[in-house]
Amino acid sequence: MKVLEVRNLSKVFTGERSIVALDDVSFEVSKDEFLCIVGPSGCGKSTLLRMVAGIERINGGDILFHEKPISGPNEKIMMIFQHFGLLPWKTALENVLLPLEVHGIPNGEASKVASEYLGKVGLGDFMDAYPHDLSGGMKQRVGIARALAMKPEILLMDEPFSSLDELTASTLRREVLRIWADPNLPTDTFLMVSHNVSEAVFMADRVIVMSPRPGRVVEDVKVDIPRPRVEHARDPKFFDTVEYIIQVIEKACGGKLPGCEINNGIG
Amino acid sequence: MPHIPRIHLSFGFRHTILSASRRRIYSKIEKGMAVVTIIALIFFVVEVAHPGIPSLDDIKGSLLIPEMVNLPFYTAATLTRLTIAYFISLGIALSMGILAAEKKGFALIFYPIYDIGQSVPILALFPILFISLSQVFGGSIGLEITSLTMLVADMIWYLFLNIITAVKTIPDEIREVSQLIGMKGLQRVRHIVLPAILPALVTGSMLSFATGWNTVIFSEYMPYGSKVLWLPGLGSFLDKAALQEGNTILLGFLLLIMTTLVIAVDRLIWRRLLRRAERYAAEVM
Repeated sequence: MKVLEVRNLSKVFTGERSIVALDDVSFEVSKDEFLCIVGPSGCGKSTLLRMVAGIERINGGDILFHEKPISGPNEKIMMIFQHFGLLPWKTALENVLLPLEVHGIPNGEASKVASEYLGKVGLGDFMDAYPHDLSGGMKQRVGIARALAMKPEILLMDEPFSSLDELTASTLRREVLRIWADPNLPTDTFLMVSHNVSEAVFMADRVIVMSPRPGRVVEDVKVDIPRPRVEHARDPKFFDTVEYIIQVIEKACGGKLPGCEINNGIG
Repeated sequence: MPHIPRIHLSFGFRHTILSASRRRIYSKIEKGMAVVTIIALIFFVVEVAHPGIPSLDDIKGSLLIPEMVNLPFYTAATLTRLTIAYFISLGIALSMGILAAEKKGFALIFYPIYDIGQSVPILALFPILFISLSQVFGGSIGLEITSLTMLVADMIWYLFLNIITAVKTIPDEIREVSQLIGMKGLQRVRHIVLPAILPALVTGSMLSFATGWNTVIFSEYMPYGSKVLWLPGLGSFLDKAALQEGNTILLGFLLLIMTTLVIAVDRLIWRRLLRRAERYAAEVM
């Protein structure tokens, strides 16, 4: 079943100099799917994600959520951020509570839901801690709990592991996959932006490869590796898929290695 | 579920350490400099401005003047004036800060306003302000309004700059979160903008109140033609002691009272607020 459809999407940043960030991007996301978007920095993948979240204006084309165009934030689409986006002046519990309160969920029920989800991400003992007192991994767990507590259908992730150390990132990747596969959670469609190709192959059902700016879809790669991927991360097929995607990116960059483009900060 | 390291931090204990370390600890050099400054001041007052060590009778004669009865009232009047001017400044600066936070365009207008506004020499405008205001309101009320206007015109800029700068440095991700979860204007002000600017607000308030003490000394006292108009207050009392009576001992005594007040306000209000606000500033990404 099709949940999300991106149709001929384009984005132009107007300023002193107009920058075409996205050009005619189209793809579909089905229910229960884990989709990852990879591409060199500056290809507009984070912009794309923000447009799906409804916090970035759409210049051309449509994003359809259950056949209806997205025109603003939607409580059924939540997002987690690269730098976690926690409010430093609120405790872990208060951070998770905030969106629930904003959406008018009564206090008693909101606290119950918030502590339940903090428990689910393993932070039951840290509800009253301020972000300042939490490690990077724990902060991102709070971010995940905050998003999931809204019981969204789609979870957007903007390079969620790239500001964590590799060990923490690897633990959290498995944790996110566990959440994705959990039949008791209403959130079952995941859309992640990453510039780490092995991470994308490790997690996603499909990897969409984008070209450098202006971002276009270069290829839609189906990752045909059985799950759980932890058990298949040493298979030749895993490495072949990673290698193939890197080649696609290189070709899109004009035969040079990614990093060839000038990073203008739009990413 | 993966293993999560169980680190048993006693947060209560950590907070004690943190707040202790945040308390200002003065070095020996700083303390030494303070002592030298105070001794130099006393020496200046006693030996230069008032030659010869004053006798007890001199001191009695200088301090036991009829107007001394009014000192508590003067102190209260000046503190009230400062407080009113502070809250007016705070109100204006906060509204502008919130506008800048909500609409990016405003921030672009506010910086030039700050640049021009803070460089206006307010002392030079004092007579002009007073003449025009006293035409409308009459002498005494005119002077009261002039005094408040001058205080606001001097006190607002630290608050203004601190608030606008703090608003500009709210991390993009935090703004995006507020958008994503559908926060409306007032919710955003309460949960995002106010907590984010609180530390800057407190430091701005400290500077603003400090400059207010400075301004109040001349804004309560206005030589106008052949006569002198003044408002009851600590500032005008200081001016009278110096300019009309040349009473150095009274001047020194009033400076001592004012210094005590400044330190008391700092200790009792600003330091406490700052310690609370620093917890908010603990982490800005």
